[in-house]
Amino acid sequence: MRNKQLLHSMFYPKQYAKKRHVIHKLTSRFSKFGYQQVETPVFEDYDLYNDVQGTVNTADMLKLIDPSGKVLVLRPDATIPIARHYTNLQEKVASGRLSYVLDIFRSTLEERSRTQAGVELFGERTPEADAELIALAVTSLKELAIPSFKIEIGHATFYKELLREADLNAIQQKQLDQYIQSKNISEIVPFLKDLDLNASLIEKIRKIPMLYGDASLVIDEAENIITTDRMREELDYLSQVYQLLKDYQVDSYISINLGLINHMNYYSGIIFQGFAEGLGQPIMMGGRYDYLSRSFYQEMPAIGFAFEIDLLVNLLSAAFIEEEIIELRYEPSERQRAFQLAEALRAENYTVVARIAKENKELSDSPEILVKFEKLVYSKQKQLKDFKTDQELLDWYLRKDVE
Amino acid sequence: MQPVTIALAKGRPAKQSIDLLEAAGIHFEDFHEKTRKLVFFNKDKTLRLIFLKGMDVPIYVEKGAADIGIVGRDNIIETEADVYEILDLGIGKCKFSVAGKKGTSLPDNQSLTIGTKYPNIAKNFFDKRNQTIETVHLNGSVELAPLIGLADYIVDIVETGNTLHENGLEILADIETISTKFIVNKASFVTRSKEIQDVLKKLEQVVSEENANSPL
Repeated sequence: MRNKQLLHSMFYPKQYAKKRHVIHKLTSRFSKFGYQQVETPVFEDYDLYNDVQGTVNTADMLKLIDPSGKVLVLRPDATIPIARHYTNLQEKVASGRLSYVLDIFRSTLEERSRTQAGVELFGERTPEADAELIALAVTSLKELAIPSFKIEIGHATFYKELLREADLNAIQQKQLDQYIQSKNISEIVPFLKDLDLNASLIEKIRKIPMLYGDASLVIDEAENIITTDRMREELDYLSQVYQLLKDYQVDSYISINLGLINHMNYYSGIIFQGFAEGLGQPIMMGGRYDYLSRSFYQEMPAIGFAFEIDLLVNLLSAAFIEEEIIELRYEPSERQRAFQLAEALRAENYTVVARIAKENKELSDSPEILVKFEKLVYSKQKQLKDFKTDQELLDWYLRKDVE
Repeated sequence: MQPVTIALAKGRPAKQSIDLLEAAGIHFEDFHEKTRKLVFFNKDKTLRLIFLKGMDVPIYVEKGAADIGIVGRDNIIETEADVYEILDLGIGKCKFSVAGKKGTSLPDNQSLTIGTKYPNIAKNFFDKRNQTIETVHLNGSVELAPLIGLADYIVDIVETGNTLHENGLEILADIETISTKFIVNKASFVTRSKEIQDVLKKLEQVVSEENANSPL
């Protein structure tokens, strides 16, 4: 059924250079915020995912059987194994801040795998922690120069709490989630009326999908549909996170959407998604998952997010400049000298390919250095420049990029 | 600034949708009914209108190639596109039904062969009845299938029922009602919020006026 791609897209060096650039920018950003990078095994126990309910659909996982008959899965998600390992650590990482760049595997994905880069913050349930993550996500996207993006913040429990009174069964719940998620207001009301809910509750649920946009306005409006103390607390919490984001000066990138629902059931508080113009899928997803650790018999509040690297690669602006490769060609007698010169340039972080000079070779647009007896010729875009000594060229080369 | 792109299903429903946009004060230069052009702009080039096949509209919107789509709900359900279905435009009303030869009934204790342009919708309906079906995916003249013996029953859009009647078929069960929807790409909804809200508000106004004027 699926179109088998002949060649993995990252096999093109130019494409992969972009991916490397995205990963490098993100990981250095994460580490500047104190997040320490970790890795988890590619093969995980099937039971790990089977036991943690409401996470990855077991049918979507890629399974294999080891010689002893045990069922393994290719890592379908990064958060669950990281949370499991972290909660079981005897000596916790002091900061509670971890990051990762990992491939995840699912049968539903385009090439059956994709790369995610994300962070997890363990041991804190505070608006400060939530705001830190969202600010980190915004500044990361700014650093990648993603042209036009927004982070949408919602709340997993605010809406669930409102629905508690309605006491829906799983099928009804799924249908309603679908309507709310697609902001399908015209079908919500008839659906709820069929369920015999009272009019005031219907009126409140109906408002959920419309609670989006500018934070201060949405939070004020959401006041009107509060029915329980829990909802009041959660809304106050959201409001505090927004105040913190103002101090991070990232509030212009934020939009509130209380109709946001994440299909990962483990989220327990703030949830958020990043969107870039012209792309329908979220480039980033995250949220608070305070109770996931209970599956591992521990209490460990946590929040995390993950970027979709492959989507970011496609969004990377045309302004992304690939690293220049210097072609250093030498005449056979000048081999030793040429190798030394190549190393000297590499020591200054230039990329150099050294090889033997060809006769009658036409000049290309990329930089070339021809090493001849007692002489060097530099060329770029068919402009030539002569040098007498290697040192002279080296000095000029280093100076040229500074100017 | 890139224009906001509105994707419209071409063919029969396009006329009503264009009328609605016109009523909302959204005009596209050099658009007329007989034109064969597929792309139009409004006067200040802030909006771009493109014409697509109905089934492609939700896909364009989901992928972000269009910010807004105006399309029948049949196409949204069938493609299972992940978009915001913000507004029911109240036009293009019809329903999905199961039809079969006159005088037959729809058994619930056997596996059936269903001819349809909408295999997902057919499958979802029979899944809910816990009935297994085999679908035959057809692209037109669906009414023929039961007559020729290609399928036991069909799942199709029914507007007046005339086509069914003339081919000796009748409705055996209704699946759901459909109408034309205003859909929005989830990213555009936040990244181009202002421009989209502007179009949405204008259309909402027209739709609510039309509802108030309708005899119902």
